[in-house]
Amino acid sequence: MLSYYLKLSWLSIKRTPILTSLMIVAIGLGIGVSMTVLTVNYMMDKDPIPEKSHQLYHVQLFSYGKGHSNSQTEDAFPMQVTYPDAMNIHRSEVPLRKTRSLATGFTVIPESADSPPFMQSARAIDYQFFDMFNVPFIFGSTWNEQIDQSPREVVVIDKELNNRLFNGENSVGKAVNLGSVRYTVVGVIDTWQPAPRFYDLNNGNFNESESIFVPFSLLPVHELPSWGNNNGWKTEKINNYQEKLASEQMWNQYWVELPTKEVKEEYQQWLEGYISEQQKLGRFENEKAGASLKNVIQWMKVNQVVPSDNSILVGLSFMFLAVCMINTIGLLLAKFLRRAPEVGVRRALGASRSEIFIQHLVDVAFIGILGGALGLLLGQLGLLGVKTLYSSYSQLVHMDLTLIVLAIGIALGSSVIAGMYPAWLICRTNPSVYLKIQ
Amino acid sequence: MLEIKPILSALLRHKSSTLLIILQIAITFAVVVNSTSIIKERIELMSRDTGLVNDRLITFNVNAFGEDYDHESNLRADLELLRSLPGVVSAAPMNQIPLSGSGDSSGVAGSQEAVDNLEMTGTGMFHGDSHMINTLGVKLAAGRLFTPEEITYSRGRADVKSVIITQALADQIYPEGNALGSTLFMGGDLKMTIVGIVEHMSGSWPSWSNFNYNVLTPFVPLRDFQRYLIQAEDQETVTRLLGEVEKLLIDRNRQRVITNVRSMDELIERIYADDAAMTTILWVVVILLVLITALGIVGIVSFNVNQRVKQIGTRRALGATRMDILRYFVTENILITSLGLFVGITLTIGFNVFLAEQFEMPEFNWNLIPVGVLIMFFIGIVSVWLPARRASKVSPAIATQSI
Repeated sequence: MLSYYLKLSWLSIKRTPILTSLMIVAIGLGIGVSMTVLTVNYMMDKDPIPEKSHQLYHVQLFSYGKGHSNSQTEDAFPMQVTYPDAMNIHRSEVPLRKTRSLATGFTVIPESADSPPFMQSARAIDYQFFDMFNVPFIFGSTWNEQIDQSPREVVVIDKELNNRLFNGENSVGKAVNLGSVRYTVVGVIDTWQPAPRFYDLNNGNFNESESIFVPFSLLPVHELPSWGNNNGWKTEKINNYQEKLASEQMWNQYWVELPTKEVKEEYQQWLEGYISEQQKLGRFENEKAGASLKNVIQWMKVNQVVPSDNSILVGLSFMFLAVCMINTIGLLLAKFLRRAPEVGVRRALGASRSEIFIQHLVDVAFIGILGGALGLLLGQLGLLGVKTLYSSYSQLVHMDLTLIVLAIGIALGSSVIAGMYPAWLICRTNPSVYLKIQ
Repeated sequence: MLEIKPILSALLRHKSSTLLIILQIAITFAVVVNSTSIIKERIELMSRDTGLVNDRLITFNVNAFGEDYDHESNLRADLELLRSLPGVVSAAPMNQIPLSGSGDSSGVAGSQEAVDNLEMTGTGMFHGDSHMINTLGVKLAAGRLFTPEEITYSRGRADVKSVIITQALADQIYPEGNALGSTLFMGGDLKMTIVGIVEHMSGSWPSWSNFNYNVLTPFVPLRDFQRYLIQAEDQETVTRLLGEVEKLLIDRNRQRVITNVRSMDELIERIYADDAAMTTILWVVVILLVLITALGIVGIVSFNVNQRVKQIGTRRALGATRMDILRYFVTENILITSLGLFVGITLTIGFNVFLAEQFEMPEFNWNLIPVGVLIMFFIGIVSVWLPARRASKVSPAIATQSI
């Protein structure tokens, strides 16, 4: 029966080529535009580390003095922590894994005289960083735990930098000149580009990951500069790096891995205990003093990873789709009613109402699938456009299988819904009217 | 004369298709007007006056490395080199560049009381030498510029005595207009005298509400990382310098890396890239939507014409001119469009109230509604024209033919 209906559909499409192609174009444009917008939104909002996003927590401490707060966040918590706090809370044994983190950078000076020095962004972290965030290694591994207490000049570099400096060979044990200091390579990681770059949402949500990772314990030794935000609320005279380290400036980040709810609660309590200990020393004077743990998904929300522009566009694109569908209903009405005499004959020859109804829905579904296919093509074109418009999204914008199925689903679903009314109208055709005219 | 009555009764016989067009026109109108409103707002944002000589500025960063790098002597030598280049009007070291999206900010106040009550105003903090203001191309409104003797070169914090602030900031912290010569309080015991006021100058973050509140200080921090700003004579010099500045500086001293060599026009393009992209996407949406709606009208009216061929023929046979037939369809369309627009205007207002609540949108531009109305009528008439003309060509003889 279905093949018969499909044959009838094909015949009817051939009979009204202009009307049919108008419908296909309308559905195609509707799907194309909404899929383009949805893809960008979906990719931005996607969980960058699904296996762990609910175990990794970003630590926020309300270390402001009286009367100060952060106007950028809903709960007024600062985005980062001070260096003394990062050092102190690192003593806690509660988290399964933990890392201090700072965006920094170096001048890389290649050994050979004919390749010029270049700047490279870097990250100062602790040895568990790679395990916490599931960073894949090609050669070697992270540094020894002791290095986080007694610093040594070791470095983990990424594949790209390894290709540039060592032609992609195993560089473990070799030296890299970062500024005027020699570092020994202990590991090389594979390309690792989480999108959004959830482990540091302060410095560009979709920026490239760093190529260089050095021990956080080197901060005071080599006075690693901050390449990220430095927020201060207190008037302090900071004349040198040592004074910066001791200050109330918030410029470090802290991540912990807390595998269960119980561990999370235990850690929350540990932090509260730490804060009251600090209050005795005259810090954390604000009445809101406290600690906040936010997992990856919550942290993405706080940082508004999906810009409000995108939400506006999603709304607009669905209205666009609605217009396309209303348009299609109008055109379907025209198409079906034109066929009324033929339907009258079929009804007179014994076709039931439901058969006529289903036949017309098959007709619509056929057009819907063609429209959906055109929509996917247009969507790809749209994404290409988005890529040229937003250079930082380039790795984001591609449709995966879920999105393709979704596109066809929306096309099919919405066109069948659009076809209901016209199909219902036509199946109520009274055969006698048309037989009389004939 | 306009046959409104027969049109209405004909429309009532095709309720569903009429309703569909009305709905389509309504939603199209709502989307078009709201999108245009956002487009307009973004274009205004992007074309705001920066107060700078945008098209003649170049900036770049010098990243020094090496243990024995002498920051002060290198800085002086760099500036001497830059200022001696042909086509260079002025050059200055700066800690941050307007519209670059990165830099320092600090809270300031016009009284110690405001400091104590934590009622400080966030401002952009621009440090540089006595050439800074001239290089930016910012105009002095009152007071004086910094003198070379005033400038502190320091690796740490500077003990700055005098500052220049923007007019916008002066009006904010000294509303009575007595900012010049008064004190700028920066918290703690930090106090400076306002020696000059500049007209308008953009800060570093266009999305910040305090974008126009800026403080300039006579201080050159000596760090491994140093920014420079150059004002060139003309566009050709800008292009030339963008290409050669890196080599010139490296040739003078190889212990550094030059990064982010950019013209101010490029900085502006980068900082507004998302707004520009939003504008483009909205344009595409608007154009496609109008196209779809127009095609829809063409499709439906064609269908109506086909269905009514016999009636049209009869009317023609009874004496209606071609013009009468054409006018019939155009009037019908105007009627439908008007109904659609009535619903559309309601929808637009509702949609806008929703958007404004959700996303802190700026005030809606009401005069876009009449513009949108005119556009929709235009689209309606253009798309009805073709099928209506075809209708007017129906021969009166049809009436006498049976099928």
